[in-house]
Amino acid sequence: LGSLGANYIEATALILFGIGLTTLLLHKNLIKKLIGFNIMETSIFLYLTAKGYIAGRGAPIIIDGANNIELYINPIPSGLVLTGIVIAVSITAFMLALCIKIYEYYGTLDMDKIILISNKDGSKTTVSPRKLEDIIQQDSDDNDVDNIDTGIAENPDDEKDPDGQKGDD
Amino acid sequence: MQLFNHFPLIMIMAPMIMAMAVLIVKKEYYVRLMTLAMQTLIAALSLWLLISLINSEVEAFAYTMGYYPAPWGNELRAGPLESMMSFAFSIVMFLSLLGGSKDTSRDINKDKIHYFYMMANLLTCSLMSIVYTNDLFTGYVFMEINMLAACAIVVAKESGETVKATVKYMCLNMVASMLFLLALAMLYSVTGHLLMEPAKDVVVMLADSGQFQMPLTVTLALFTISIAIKSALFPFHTWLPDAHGNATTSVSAILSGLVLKGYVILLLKIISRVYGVEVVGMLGISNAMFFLGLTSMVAGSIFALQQKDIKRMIAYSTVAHIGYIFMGIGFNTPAGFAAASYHIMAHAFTKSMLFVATGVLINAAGTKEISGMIGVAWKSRIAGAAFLVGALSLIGIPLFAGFPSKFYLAEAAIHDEQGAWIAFIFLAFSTFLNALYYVPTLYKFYSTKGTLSQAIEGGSWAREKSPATPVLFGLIGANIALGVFYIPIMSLLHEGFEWLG
Repeated sequence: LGSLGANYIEATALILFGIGLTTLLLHKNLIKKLIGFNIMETSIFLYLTAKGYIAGRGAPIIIDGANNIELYINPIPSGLVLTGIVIAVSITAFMLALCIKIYEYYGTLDMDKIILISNKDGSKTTVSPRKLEDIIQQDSDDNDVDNIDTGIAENPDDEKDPDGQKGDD
Repeated sequence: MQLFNHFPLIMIMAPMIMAMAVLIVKKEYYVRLMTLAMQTLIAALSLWLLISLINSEVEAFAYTMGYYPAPWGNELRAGPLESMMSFAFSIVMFLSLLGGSKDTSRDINKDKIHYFYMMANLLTCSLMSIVYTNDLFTGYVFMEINMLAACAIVVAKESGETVKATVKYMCLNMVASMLFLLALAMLYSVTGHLLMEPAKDVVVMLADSGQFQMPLTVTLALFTISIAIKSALFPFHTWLPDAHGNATTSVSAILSGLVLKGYVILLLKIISRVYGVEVVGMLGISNAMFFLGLTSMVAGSIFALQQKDIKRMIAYSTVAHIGYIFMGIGFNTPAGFAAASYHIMAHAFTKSMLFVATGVLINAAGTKEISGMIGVAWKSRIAGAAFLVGALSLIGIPLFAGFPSKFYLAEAAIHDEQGAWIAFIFLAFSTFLNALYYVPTLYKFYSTKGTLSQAIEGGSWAREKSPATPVLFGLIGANIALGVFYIPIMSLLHEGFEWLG
């Protein structure tokens, strides 16, 4: 346990990674999945930055020729983090674009409902918007769900999940 | 430094530049021509590189980017294995893009088709970098580019199904990328290197001294899981059938034939160049790969048996064949790696042929359901013949590409004392299952009872003017070539792994 205390930043990073992973895997809402992904990558950036930092040293910016290397932290992890941020941004942007598209086609961001709709309409490759509304209407009649179209809006039931999962990490 | 030393860099940079050039040109015909010319250029350079490597005294070389020496700079590395893989990949890419070009121009919005070819070029670029890189972080970056480009070409055929498939694809692949990055960060914090060779020195030293066993095990496990997700090994395969089943013809062929294989090549490089065979055996991860591979071989085939949609059936068959590749890696011997690499090539050629042929057959029958395609092989005979060859090859009939790869996998199994019997039983059972879904499908395609077979008289070998016809002839030829001339290819692969280690 002593080493855990000494490496508390790394331990925090891994706990955050676990939270992000469970959010990404267990939430139905696509936006929340994306938030989970962002927590995961930020936790890895935290881990990398913590590993590259050496206490008491400064940023490796060299002015007036090379100085003593003892003055600087390891710059490579910072470089990796910068590259990682670029990648994470592009993945997030692409995923958000997909979310817009999927909302156009299915009228919801709830993955379970999307799979339900596409299974009901299995043989067709494209779902026409009018038919889609019918399906959703039917679906809401069947399951007595109140807020079908508000996949983005906060669903009070979803709040329970992250707290329930934190213990497992 | 000789001329061919620069080829790996050219093979990575040229498609990247071409991807931008395509955006300026925009006209579909020219854009396609440019993309295909790029694949031809890469194939020619890879062949040149391979021949020069065989003839020259140095069998493999590292190319330092920007002339920063080894522990600091970024490196590319080329040997017989890499050049052969890039040759096979560019040929398959060329044939898949050309073979499905009719469907591509039908399925994809005319105004946006240059974006499709841009993504195809980026995909080539990232595949080449994954094959040639000698640096873990570069591997990670291009893995992400590969994932985004692959998702983009899946969703290019815009429909509710493909958007859903892409979202599923992205969700699981995001997990996989993060696991890879975490493993990378941990490995870097233990070894202090991102280049594969210096990292291996430290890893071997640590393994000998008995320090940091846990981080080494965890990082290798994370790398393996991440790549297992990305290449759709059995428990993580759920994203694959949707993506492969709904995309347009050439995209299914490229995804199944190339994108999955690129990641496996990276795993092979990590195992043999970062950890080394001894350390991997000591950490016990290879056993996990072996058993995951075995499960995948059987489970993929069982799922394929239940499918009514022909493209989904072939997609599930890919899960089974990724299982073969992982089983080969799981033997953790150079012979097993070489057999796995042979299966990578054999499966790339066979699966792309099956998807291109299926695209033609689906157009002929007008449906994706197997029950609606009875007698369809008579209507488009070359596609029927290609499907026949592909199915026989995947079952493992001699003279076709699938036979030598299964043969070498079995041969690699003999040297594994404990795993040999299990591997033999699963190989036999999986072959039986492969036959169980391909043979009835073939029987239906060649049946004379259905309405489609009335076209027997009018059925054509090459009369219809479609780019798929020469492509299918080419793929059948490549398949038979791989099935007959396997001894020189295999000895080259063995050599490649000797130099890789």
